[in-house]
Parts: sequence; structure tokens; C-alpha cells
Amino acid sequence: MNQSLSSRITLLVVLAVLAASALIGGGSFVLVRQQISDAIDARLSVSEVNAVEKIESRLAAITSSLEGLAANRLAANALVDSMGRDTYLGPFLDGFQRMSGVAADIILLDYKGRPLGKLAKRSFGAVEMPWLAEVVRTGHPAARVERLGGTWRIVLAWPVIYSNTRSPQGVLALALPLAELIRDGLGGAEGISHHLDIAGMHLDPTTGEGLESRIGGRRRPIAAPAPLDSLGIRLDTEVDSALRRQPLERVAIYYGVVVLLVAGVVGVGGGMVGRTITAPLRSLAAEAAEVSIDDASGHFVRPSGDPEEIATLARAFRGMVERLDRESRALVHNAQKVANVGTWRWRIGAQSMEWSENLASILGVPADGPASLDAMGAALRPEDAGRLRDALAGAGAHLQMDAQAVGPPGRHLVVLADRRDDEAGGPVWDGTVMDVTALRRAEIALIEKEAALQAILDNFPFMIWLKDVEGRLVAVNSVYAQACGRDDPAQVVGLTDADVWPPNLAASQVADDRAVLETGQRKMIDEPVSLDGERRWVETFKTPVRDPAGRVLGTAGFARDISARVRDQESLKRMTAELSRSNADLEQFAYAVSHDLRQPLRMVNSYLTLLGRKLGDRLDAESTGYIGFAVDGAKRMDGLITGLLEFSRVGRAERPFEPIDLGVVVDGVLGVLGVAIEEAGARLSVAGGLPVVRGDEMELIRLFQNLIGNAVKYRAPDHPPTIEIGWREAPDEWVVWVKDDGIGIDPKNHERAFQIFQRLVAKDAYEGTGIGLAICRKIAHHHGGGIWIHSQPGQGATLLVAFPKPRA
Amino acid sequence: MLKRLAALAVVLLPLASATASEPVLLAIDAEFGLPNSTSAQAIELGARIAVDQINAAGGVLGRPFALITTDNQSVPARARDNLAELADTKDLVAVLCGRYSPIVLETIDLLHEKKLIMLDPWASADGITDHQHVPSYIFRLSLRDSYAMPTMLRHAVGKGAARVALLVPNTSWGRSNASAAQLAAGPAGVQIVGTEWYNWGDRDFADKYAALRASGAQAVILVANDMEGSAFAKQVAALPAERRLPIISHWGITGGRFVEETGPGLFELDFSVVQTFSFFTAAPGPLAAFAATHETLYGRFDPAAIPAPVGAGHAFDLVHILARAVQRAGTTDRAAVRDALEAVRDHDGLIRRLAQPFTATRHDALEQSDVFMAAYRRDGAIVPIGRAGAAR
Repeated sequence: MNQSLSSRITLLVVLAVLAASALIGGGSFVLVRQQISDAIDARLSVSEVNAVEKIESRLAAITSSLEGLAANRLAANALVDSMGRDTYLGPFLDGFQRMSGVAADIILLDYKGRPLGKLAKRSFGAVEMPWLAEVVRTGHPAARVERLGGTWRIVLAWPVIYSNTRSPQGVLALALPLAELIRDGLGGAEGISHHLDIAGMHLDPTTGEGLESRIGGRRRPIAAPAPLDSLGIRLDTEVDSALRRQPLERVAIYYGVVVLLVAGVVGVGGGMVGRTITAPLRSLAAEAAEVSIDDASGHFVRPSGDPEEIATLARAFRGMVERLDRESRALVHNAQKVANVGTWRWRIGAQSMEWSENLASILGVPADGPASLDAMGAALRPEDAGRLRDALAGAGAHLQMDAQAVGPPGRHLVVLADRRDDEAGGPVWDGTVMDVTALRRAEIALIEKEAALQAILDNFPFMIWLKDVEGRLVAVNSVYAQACGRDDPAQVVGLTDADVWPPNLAASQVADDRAVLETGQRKMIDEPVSLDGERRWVETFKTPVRDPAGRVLGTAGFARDISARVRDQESLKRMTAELSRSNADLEQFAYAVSHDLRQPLRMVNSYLTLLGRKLGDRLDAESTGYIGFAVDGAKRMDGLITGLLEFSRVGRAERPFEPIDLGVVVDGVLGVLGVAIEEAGARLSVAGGLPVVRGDEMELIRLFQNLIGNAVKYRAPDHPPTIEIGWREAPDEWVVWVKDDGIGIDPKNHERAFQIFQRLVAKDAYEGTGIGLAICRKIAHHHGGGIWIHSQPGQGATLLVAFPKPRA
Repeated sequence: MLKRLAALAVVLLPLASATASEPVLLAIDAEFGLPNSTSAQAIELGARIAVDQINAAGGVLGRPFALITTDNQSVPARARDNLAELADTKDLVAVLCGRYSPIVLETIDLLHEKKLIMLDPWASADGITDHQHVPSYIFRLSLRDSYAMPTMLRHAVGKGAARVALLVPNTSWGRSNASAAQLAAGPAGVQIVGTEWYNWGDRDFADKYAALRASGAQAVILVANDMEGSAFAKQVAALPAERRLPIISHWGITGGRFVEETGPGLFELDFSVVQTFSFFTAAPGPLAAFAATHETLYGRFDPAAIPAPVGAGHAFDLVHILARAVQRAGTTDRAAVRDALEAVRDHDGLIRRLAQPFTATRHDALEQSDVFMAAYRRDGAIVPIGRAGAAR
């Protein structure tokens, strides 16, 4: 038998080894194949990344170089200097015959895309590329693939900004042969080859010529800088299939050899191990066969060796069982104490009760007193004791009841029991009594707290909720419940977003909650939602909820309807955009005025005058008057347009503000208006020490020219004007005024006086366009100040201008 | 272009039906579209006033004289396209150019191929009239760089600057001036101690100015247009007074808003500019006529308010000379008009009386003696230095 067990162990070991080898081999094959595949993919990726990086860096360097060349003043200079460009631009561009190792051909073209000067004789030849004119028109660089001189080339074109017009007036174009561009960059590792797709053409890496069919394999986009990105350049990569097959074949052969060797070694070793393991069994069997009981002592004996060996072993086992029993009882007792649970058994046949020490403590009866059903009943309220007795006497198999112990402090108990047969086959109730007083009190407190919290939540005018980590709603307020069509918050608790919201909204809620849970960060979201077919804007705040240890328990959030606010903001935005557009239109209009309106007006004026002269005496007085009115009207319209142009120019010069001495400005203006002042016989007084303000000198001259000019112009008909220019200092500003004793302005017209084209007096009495004071107000505002009037009709006018003091 | 012609046709239709004749056309191809440009506008103003006076006196060949404009934005390629189109326009006798010399220099061959007369009221490169085409179709009543430079250098000497340096653009205009300066330096008793070249569009001249000062220059000869000129002047004005050299400028700066762009710092500088014409010293008779027509067409005439006076004055005189040539030729055939331009005599111009503006061998109407130096007044007016009130 021993020999047989050893042989079987050996056989089992060998079989196990072979089975394990088959399993390991199969698994290993899969793993190795995956590893080889991963390794090849890694090499592929490295090779791909290298090729892509080379190409990308080459394209980026070339693009950046051309952009730099186009921005070079020499290029713009050459647009207007044919005699010089061949002497300086040609040699300059020759310095860029190779860019990033690629032969480059650069030419300069005019605004219609026509090559300029001798540069035209470069490899671009006579190919017409009308799209180059588009580069000038749009001001955006562009790229195409063109066949020039029998070679496919990328042509990259960059607009050349001409400083005088501040707009593109030419193009710098660069031609790069595709073969050179891709040849050096694409050398793949062994068994890996790369090709380029450009503008839908698949290119041979050695010739740059298009191939007829695309290869399979991987494709990777090249992140080329603009405008080359428009060509959709991609890298195609192909792997030789032998690269994946050959390593697998080698591994399979090595593995077979190793398995055979291991099986042989394990066979021999298994026999030796089998014999070693069974040796003690064989020895014990031999010893046991010799043990007997001594008749005289009743002890186990053995004819030879130690006669007590077996008996000692038996006693040791018994001692071990007793220790385990004691420890087990102590463990149960402690567990009951900790859990505040006592156990009991009621033997139905014997009408006897047993209970654990802890049950006596829970019932409040002496631990050493007799256990009985009466004693248990006496410890409970009478109605609970009666229910217990009825249950135990009944035919039920299970018992569960709540009870309360008598006397203060009125502890809450839960009694549980099962009816079954004991070891001897007699019917018994095995049960427990658990003291749940603390739990009940906590429950009551919790219910009260929840009610209070719910009351608070329900009083907030926006939706509030609490969710667990699974996204189930733990608590919500009544606003939330109503928003999702429920009457009572309790109807929502336990549901998820998918249960209460439309699918799109639920999906976005889930995604937001996930983001909050994953990042642990708060999130504020403003988003449009569709509820009940109505589109609303909702502001939502979500935050993770943590326990004191910092573990995330769920999310909390609130949301409110901000549709009204968003509507207001959008309305404001629309108005701002309309205002900007309207301003832009006005500026555009001003430019149109300068060229397109004034020129035809001059022609009208010129030809009306010409017509008048041609017809000469043939015109009667009335017709001459008509022509005079028309000429006069055209002149006044020209004056209006000029005024409007000046009005629109205020603040547009973009000149930096400088310290301007208003005394110098006023002196200059008085010099310019000298003739008019003299003609009017005006008496002028200028206060000394006029302040120095930060501003635009030209605009300030215009401001005082208008104010003093008005004071002279709108003088009273019966006496020469007296004009005073004064100033005072306020805490934050200087106020400068021009005061006259002229015809004055009615207070009801003070605001109108600053509106454009508003004339307050008849044009027959005083010439003017109604723009002067509008310009003054625009200038004052441009300087951060203001302008206003103090005046009564017939009592003169004071125009006051405030200039802010510079801040320290 | 076609739109302009169509608009012109509409305006002239009643007149044409009355006179039963088509207008004789004159064009201006200049830098109208440049931001801040005043040169093309000044040329147009002078030409329109002259055209109005000619029409008031009965037009040319009994037909009205009319002006059309095209915008080349100072880009030669655009000018070439505009001129090619104008050359094919019926009854167009000549084209006035603008301020930019490279425009004319780059279209010389085209003008002669198309036999298109170019009247130059401003561009000053010597090569504009010194070229190989015979007969020449280009006539200039304006400055020549080789006239400008002796005057500018003599002005430097007058300031005690015997060593001057040049700041010139890297264009044919810049090279024309650099070469003119070398030729004029000896006779003027001046030494050119340094030359710095810049490209159009440059805005930072600090290094170049430092180099010019380091060369020992006592004054700077500036050849620039308004944009680069104002950038340079502003940078010099920002320096301490003892480091500012007198700046003697060519007149390209007067074709834009140089005073506004430079700002008040301009008046801290010793800055003078070469000119050939000023309304303050114009011939009284033609000036009175000019002012009267200006009053009719544009409102009150204020000599200080015309920002680029040379453009207006030269164009005015050139258009009158052209009208006389057309009248003399008796046809709008450009070859005949070209010949007639060389035969016009005794023209009482705004600039002065010109005994024979052009001859077969001289297509520059002005002379060295017409050139003078001027300075900016605070109101932006350009006033002659030491010649105020001098009638010529």
C-alpha cells in the first residue's frame, strides 16, 4: 500500500505539472503574443511619434520662417522698389535657399498674385496661381499643393503688409518640393514604413509622387501650423507581418523544450517526495499496531518504547476541547453584553426557563436568582407580559414583539424567538431580548430633527436636495418636489434623477454629480433647461457632502430659476452689440462722408457754377437765384459733412494724452480768431494761471475755438461783446469757463444745445451748422469731464467745462 | 474706375446735350486711399480749381475739361493697372501722378509704351525725367532731388553744420537723394559723415539716430514720408535738448498729417523742410484767381489751411499748361499734345512766370532757384524761412 501511495503521488504530481504546463503554456502564449504585439505597437508609436515630430517641427520652422520673412520690412519695401529689390531682396531671399534642410524657392508677388521683377524667374515659372490674389484680398495666409516645373510642391503664401496702407499689398510665396520635405523625416524602424497623405494625395516617400492606392495600417494626423493645416496632412504607417509572427514561433519552440525538461525532473522528484511524506505514516501505523491496555493499571501500554504515547495524545486533545469551550462561552457572554442582548430558552414540556447572565441584567432581576417565565413577565409591563405568554403558548413558530421594561427609566426591549426541537427532541423556544432604548431615543430625536430641517428647507424659495453617492435623493424640499411634479417631498426621496427628470436633464445632472464626487470640488452651473416645454435658465450649485473624517457621503445642491436675470443680461448684451454695430456704422459713414459724399457734392457745386456761367445772360434773375440757392445749399451741406466728420474724429486719433497748458491753448486760439475778434470789436479778458490738464492738444484747441468762436458769433446786436475766460479749482477737477454778454440761451434749450445739428437760432441771423457744441461735449467727455451752460435769454451765456485732475 | 466714368457721364449728360460735345479728360492717379494722406487730395484741389477756371473760360477745344481720379494706394502694381486702363480711355489727354517717386519710376516703360502723358506735380526722384525714352512723355513741375539737396546742405551750412548725416529710405527715392547729396556736398562745403538706411514701415529710429550722432554729424538730412518722418521726429524730440540735432527734411513729410502725428514735440525741434511753392509767396494775380475759385468751390480760402501746398500749387499750374497745350495741338491726340507741351510759352503761373516750362530736352519746369527752406507754424501751416511776404 505504501509503495502504491507513493507511486500515485508521483503520478499525480507529474499529471498536475503537465496540466499546469498546458494551462501556463496556453496562457503564456496569449500573454507573450500580446506583449510582442504591445512591444511592436510601442516601437510603432515611437517611430510614428519621431516621424510626426520631425515633420511637424520642420513644417513649423518653415512656416514660422516665411511668416518672419513676410513681416520683414525688406519685403514690403520691395513691393514699391523694383530697381532695388533685385539687388537686395534677391540676395536676401537667396539666404533662405534651404529651410530646415529642404530646398526652398521664395518669390514676391504683387496684389494680383503676379511675380515681381527678376524673382519671377525662379522655379515658379509661368504657372498662374490666382488663389494668391485671394491671400492679398483676405489678408490670410494660404497653402496649396501645386505641380511646378514637373515637381509636386507645397506652395505656402503669406500676405505682405505694406506700411503705408497698413493692409496686404503683396504675397511672399514659398515652394517646397514634396519629395525633399518628406524624405528625411520618414525613415521608420526595421519592418515599419511611413508615408504621407497631403491634400488627399498619397505620396511616395522617395519621389514625392502620388501613389495609386493607399496602404492600410495606422493613420495619424500631422498637427501642421496654419495655413498648412488646411492641407489635411496625415502620416500613414505600415508594419511588416513577419515582425509579429517570427518572435512567436521562437517562443513556442523554447517553451516546448522547457516543459519536457520540467516534467522529467518533476517525475523523479515526485517519487522521492512521495516516499518521504508517507514515511511517518508508515512508522505511526507500525507503532499503533503494538499498543494495548495494561490489565493491572488500565493504562495504554506498548510492548516496547513509551507505553503512554497514545494516552498522552488523547488527554491533550480533551484539554484542548475544554479550553475552547470556555473561551467560546466567554466570547458569547461578552458579545451579548456589548450588544445589550440576552438569550433564553423556554422548555415547553418541562415549563422551565433558562437564561443568560446578561438577560438578567437587561430585565433588572438578580443574576443569581431563579430563571422563570414569571420572573421575565414580572420585569415587563403587564400587557407585554401577557402577549409574551400568549405567544409562547400558541402554535406559532416565530415570535417578534416590542416591549417595555417596568419602572424607570422605561427601557425599550425587542423580544425575538424561534420554536424548535432541542437535542433530545423536546419542543423549546430559543429566544433573545435586546435592549434598544438608546436606539429608539435616537430615532425619535432624528425624526424631530428631520421635521425641523424639512421645515427650514421648505421655506427656501429654491430647490434644495441631498443625494447619496449612488445619486439617490436622500432629502429634498417642497420646491424641488413641486418642480418635478410631486406633491410631497417624501414621494421623491429614494428616487434618482432618471426617475424625476426628462432624460437630457437627468443625464446632465448625473454627469455634474459625478464630476463633483470625483473631484471633490464644488460646482456652479448656469445652464438652459427645458421644463414643461418651456426653456428656462437655471443656476445650480453643487457641493460634495463629507463626514467628519472627510469621506464623501454624497452631494448637496440648490438650484434656482434665473431666467428673468438671463433675459435681462441677454437683452443688455443685444443692446450693447447693436450699439457697437451702430457705432461702427457711424464710423464707416464718416469715412464714406469723407470720400464718397464730399466729392460728388463738389461736382454738383462745380457744375452748377459752370452751368450758371455757361448760360450767363440767358438766365433770368429768378433762375440765377435758384442756382445761387442750390450752390449755397451744397456749400452748407459740405459744411455740415465737414462738421460731422470732425465730430466723428473726436477721440479717434489714438494719440496719448499729454500735459497741455490751457493758457497756451487759449492764446493760440485767440491768435487764430484774431480777425473775427477784431471785426466784432470784442473785449476779452483771460484769467491768469489757466490749469495744465492731461489731454489731446488738437481737440482742446478745437474745444476753445468753438467756445470762444460762439461767444464772438452770438453777440448781442446792440453792443460789442465782452468775453471773459476764467477758471476755478475744485477738489477733483478744474472748471474752465467762457462767459459772454451775448444773446443767451433759454434754460429749456440748454440740453438741446449740445445735440448734433440742433440750431437754436435762425440760420438767417447767425451762420452755423449746429455741430460746434456737440463736438465740444464729445471732446469734454473724451477727456473724462463734462460741459454745461449757465444762461438766460438776453443775459449772455457761460459755457463751463470740467477737466478731471490726474489721480496721484 | 468704370463706376467713376459712369458717374461722370451722368453729371455731364445735360451739359453734353447742351454743347453737343464730349468732355476732354484729365486723370489723377495717386495715393487717395492712404490713411492720413493729404498729398493726393491737395493735388486734386489744385487741379479742380484749374479745371473750373478753364471751363469758365470756355473749356478746351470748345469742349468741357473734366477730371477723373483713380487710387493707387502708393503701390506700383496698382498704379500700373490703373494707368493701363486710363491709357485706353477715350479723350484722356494726360494723367497727374502723386507724391511717390517709385510709382512713376516703375511705370516709365508702360507710360511710353502706351504714349500716356504723365504730369508730375510732386514726385521728385531725378530718374523720373532723366530716362532713356525719346521723346519723353513725362513732364514735371516740381522739385528734383538734385535741386533739393544743394539747398538743404546750404541751409545746414547756414546753421553752422559743416558735417551732416543722411537718413534715407531703402528705395529708389532714397538712393536718388543719397547720390544727389554726394554730388552736392563738395560745392556746398559740407562733409557727409554718415548715412543710415531704413525701410518703409520702420518705426524705431533710436539706433540709427545714435549712429548718426556718433558719426560726428552736426545736422541730419531726413528723407522720409510723413509716417516714418513723424516717428523719427518724435523720438528726437523726446531726447534732452543738448542731444537734439537740427533736422533738415525733404518734403515727403508734407504729404500727410505730419504735425498731428508728431505732436507738440515738433516745435521743440530745429526742424525745417524743403519746398518749391508757398501760398504765402505765390504770384499775386494767379493767387487772387485761385482764391476766388476756391471760394466758389470749397468756401473761404485760407492759405494756412491747405495742408500740402506744393501739391495744390504745382497741379494748378500743370493743368493750366496742359490746357494751353491741348488748345495749341487742336486735338486730344496725345502725341500731338505731348509735342505741344514743349511749345507752350510765357505761362503766368501761381508759382511764377515760366517763360518756357518745357523744351524738347528739359522736362523739368522748375529750377534750382525755385527751391527754398520752410518751417512749420504752430497751426500746421508751412511758411518760408526768411521769405515771408516776398512776392515772386
